[in-house]
Amino acid sequence: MAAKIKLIHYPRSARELTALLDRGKGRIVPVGGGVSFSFSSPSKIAELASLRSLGLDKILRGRNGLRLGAMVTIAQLAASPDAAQFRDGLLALAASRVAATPNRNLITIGGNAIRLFIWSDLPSVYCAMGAVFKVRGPNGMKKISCDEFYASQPLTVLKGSEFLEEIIVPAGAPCSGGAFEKFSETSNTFALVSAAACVTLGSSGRCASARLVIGGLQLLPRVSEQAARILEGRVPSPELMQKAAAAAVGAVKMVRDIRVSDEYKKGLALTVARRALEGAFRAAGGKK
Amino acid sequence: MKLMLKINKTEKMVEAEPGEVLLHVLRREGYKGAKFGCGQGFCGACTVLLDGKPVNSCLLLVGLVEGREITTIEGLGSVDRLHPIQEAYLDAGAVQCGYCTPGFVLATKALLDEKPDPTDGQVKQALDGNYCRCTGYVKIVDAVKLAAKRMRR
Repeated sequence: MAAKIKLIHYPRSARELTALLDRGKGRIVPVGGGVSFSFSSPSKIAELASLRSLGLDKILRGRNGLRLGAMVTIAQLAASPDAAQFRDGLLALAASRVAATPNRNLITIGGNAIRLFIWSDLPSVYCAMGAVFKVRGPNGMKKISCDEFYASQPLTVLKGSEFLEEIIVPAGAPCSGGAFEKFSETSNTFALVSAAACVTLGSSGRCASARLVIGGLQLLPRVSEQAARILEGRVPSPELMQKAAAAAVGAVKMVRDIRVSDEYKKGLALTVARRALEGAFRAAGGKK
Repeated sequence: MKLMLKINKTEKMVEAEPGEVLLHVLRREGYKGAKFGCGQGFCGACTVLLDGKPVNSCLLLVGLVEGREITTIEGLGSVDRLHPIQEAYLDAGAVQCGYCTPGFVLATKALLDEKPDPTDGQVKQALDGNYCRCTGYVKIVDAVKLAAKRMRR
């Protein structure tokens, strides 16, 4: 199906892009890999502005964390040695589990972060890792926390001529660990359920912080406050992790999934979430 | 509008809407090796190489590929002179109806360019975006291994 796109611009700078978007007043929108536009695009969108010439296709590792340009493809992230060595390789692992090879070669992390679907894997990981979204607009750059970025559909968070430039994933605290789990019908298809967990252990062996995000149950990724309340300040145990996972699943307002029943999905989510917590605490424990 | 595409190392001016998907433009221009399958990026029948990497041409807006290298199955071999990967697919019995074969062959090309001696696991992962509904996958994996062996010589 052909999208009703009449023209694609190739701005050479962020300034040129924002001016273009400003002029377009919603008729010109930024585009990365363009996958979602190949299915359909709202009729008011007539032109696209490609981010290809803006140099946003790099993964940069700095002291403060990992910076992912919006045009980095999922395949690039999955194969990145920097991502593999960063915070238990969570980003590289989750990226390697997104769809199939040809899809990963095309989809950019910017588009993937913004065009959110219920089964999207990486947004849950960004939230568990406390990522920050660097957005550029006519008034300069601003950073938006993952919780704010995913408070509603990201497309509605970006205003007017703003565009996502970079995702910054902060370096982990000492004695922190992370894990990602995904359950899907086949290895190359959408998640039925996924879970990302990042935890930090204090000096006494107690959990200092826990960020558990369950994917596949609801559209917007959310860090579970219920799981954090149960885990933080306590010494992690299998029983506690089970309790935290159950609390996290119980608090989710599930979106109906035509593939499986709600009951099946809840049971699955409980196991997947518990395994993510176990993996994260194991990783954190190994660094003490 | 007119778009300049680089297909199989040759620059070609095509008439297309930028929002059209590459697959339809290629087929209109006579590159019939890329097939329409699911139209949703699952089956891999439409696979082409973009800058050497396999992608689903049914998901790719043609306006976004100007200046990039597109390789279709027509760029690999011909009826008179098959590419070693195509020969291996025939010799291993990995072709039945043939609808999916161009996609598999191109995905194999991308794999062997990067990993000349892949493991079974690497072969399966590299072909995870291509579906075959009649031959099955055992002979296809055999074909990839056979091609790899021959091409290393």
